[in-house]
Amino acid sequence: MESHLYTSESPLREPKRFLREFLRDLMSSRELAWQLFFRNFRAQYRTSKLGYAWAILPMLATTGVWALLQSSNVVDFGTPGVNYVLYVATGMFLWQTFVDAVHAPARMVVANKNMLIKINFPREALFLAAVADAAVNTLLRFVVLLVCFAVYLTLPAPTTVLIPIGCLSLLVLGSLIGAVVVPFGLLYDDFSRALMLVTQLWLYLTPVVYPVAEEGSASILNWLNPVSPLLIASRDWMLTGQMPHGVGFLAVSFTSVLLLAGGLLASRVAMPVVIERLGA
Amino acid sequence: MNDTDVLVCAEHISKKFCRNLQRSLWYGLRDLGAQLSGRDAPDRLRLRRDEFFGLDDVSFRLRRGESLALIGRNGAGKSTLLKLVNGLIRPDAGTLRVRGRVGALIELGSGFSPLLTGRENIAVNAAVLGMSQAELAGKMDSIIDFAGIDEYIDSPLRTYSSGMRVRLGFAVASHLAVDLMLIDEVLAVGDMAFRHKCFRRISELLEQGTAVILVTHNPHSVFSVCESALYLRSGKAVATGDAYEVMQKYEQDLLPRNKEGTLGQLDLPPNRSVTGLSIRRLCFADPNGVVLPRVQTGRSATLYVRCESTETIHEAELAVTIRAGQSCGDRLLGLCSAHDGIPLMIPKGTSDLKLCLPTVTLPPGIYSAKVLVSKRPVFRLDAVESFIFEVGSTAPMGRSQFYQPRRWSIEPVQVCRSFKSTAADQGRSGKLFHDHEQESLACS
Repeated sequence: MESHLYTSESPLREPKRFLREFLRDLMSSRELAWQLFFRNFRAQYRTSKLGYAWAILPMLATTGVWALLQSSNVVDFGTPGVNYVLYVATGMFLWQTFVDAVHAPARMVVANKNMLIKINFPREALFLAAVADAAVNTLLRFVVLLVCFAVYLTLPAPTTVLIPIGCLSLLVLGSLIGAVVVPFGLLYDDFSRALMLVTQLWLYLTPVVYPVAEEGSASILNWLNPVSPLLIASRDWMLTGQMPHGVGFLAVSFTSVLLLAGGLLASRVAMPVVIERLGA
Repeated sequence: MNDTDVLVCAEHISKKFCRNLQRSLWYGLRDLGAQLSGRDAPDRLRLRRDEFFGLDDVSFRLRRGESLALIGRNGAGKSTLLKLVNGLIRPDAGTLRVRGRVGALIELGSGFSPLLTGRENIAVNAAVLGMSQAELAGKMDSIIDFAGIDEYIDSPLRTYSSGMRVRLGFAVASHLAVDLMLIDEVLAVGDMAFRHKCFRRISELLEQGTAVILVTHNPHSVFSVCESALYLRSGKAVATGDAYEVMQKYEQDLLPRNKEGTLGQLDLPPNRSVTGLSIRRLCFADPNGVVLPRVQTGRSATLYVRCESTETIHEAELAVTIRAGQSCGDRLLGLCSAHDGIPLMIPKGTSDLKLCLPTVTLPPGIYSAKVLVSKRPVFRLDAVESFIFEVGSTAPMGRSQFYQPRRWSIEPVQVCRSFKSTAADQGRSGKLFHDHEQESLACS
């Protein structure tokens, strides 16, 4: 029979018990996560005519705008040997994967705030459902990306088979950031607003619509930006089939996976404190 | 009873809350930091600015199959206690041990999606409450049947009335196989028939060995479900133990003396009504006309309505409505002289209208009476919205909802005579009424 002991002490003071309960909840939350995801999936677009087009439109629109700017010479980014439209489309596809994952946990939690306050269920389920939602959107966008390649009569490089790994890493990194911000965002609106602003600016600091700077201050920025190695490496897999950024990719991926585990544990500690302040 | 039967063991739990929203959020952020750093907070019991104890040093135990009512005024800490037991929030001091699966009938149907159909929502809600899909498959029909909304089950939830949503929520939650069920005033909604159904279901759960903690304001739901009660006042446990005794203590505390005058008697100023008739006094008195501070169950009592009239009123009527608790409870009695076919004539000057109750059947507790004097057909002369009175008891009630005057006897019956029961019955009931008639005579 399951047993819970609630005290004022931080659960971190009993790490073994805490980890055991975390793993138990994570395991038991899979079915619930599936239900929540499925509910979202079905309910999301029941009041929308365009339906899942909304998962694709931002990527297409941004790509279109930059393609227009480039073709009318307003901007001139040299992408030697690669079609600029495909370059931006691939970049936006990967970027959207990341951004979606950043915002998905918060969106899921806010949509289910009432439930969160009133019912005790494994909170990990919300996170899993959010990531699943982001993953499905990624899949849809990938189909659209392949259509883009077909339109330009270009064959993706054979290393494209590695793309799922790239997307997964971006999902992990994004959802890590999202999961860590969620408890704070529930307390103060400032955090969620700041997150919106940061992700917008982040896009411009990441070589999505422009080529990678090899030297100068921009290259240092690239070094500091954890999204860059993931995005650049994955894009190379699709467009050129070369892998010059493999080390950075692996380093960021592994670190994110470790940090994600930490982030989820931290969220778990934070939730009762936050729920209390939400005027449960 | 051994210790494995104890499902909830709360020892000296306290919980702080903050009145100021801004500060509350800031404290939240700081608590978050403390929890995440795993530091020990030695002064968790020290109150920071604007803080107060929502729960203060509360201890109780609950065993398998037991039922506990949490009673107290709004803001006394009842819901906080439920949230602690449910594991939604953590205590600031003390330890709380909860064993077994916990189910909660709190805010039924939170997590319902208005766009999904009833059936789809059942699946999601069941999963949220911790029911596996395999378990649900076997219970789906029973849930839909319990909710009693078959024809709407495949329509989107946004087309449901609020009552239907609650039905659906209760149906799902009450089908959980749990060891402990927490119920927070959800039974106040829904129509009468459904409420009875809910209580039946709760009784079933209790019989199956589920422990129940119930938050309610309605004394009748307390008595029909719970054996023991915990009375909270400003976060402190004031009384605990037998439900009936705790409830009495609570009602004693709640008792607001009638604004003018003492308990059991309400005096009103003259000329309060422009119609020419004013009610001056309300009280209960015994057959000798002595004012009763407290009406006794099983005895007789007469309600005196003293009126002052500037003229003679023919075809007057007196209506008395009695509700449980203080004005907001269920209507228990609705008596009207006109419905009984009794014409009243109120003479000019001061007179007492009397309503004699040969046997008071109300169980002990606090009640409020609405008294209306009108002229037929519908001309309202004067009314008192709430005359609060107390019913005490020396008469044995058993576990009844109301007092039944009764007499037990035994009579040998010869087989061939039993077919003539009609005559015999009439004879017996005649005897019973005879007693009442005597008391009625004493009343008048």
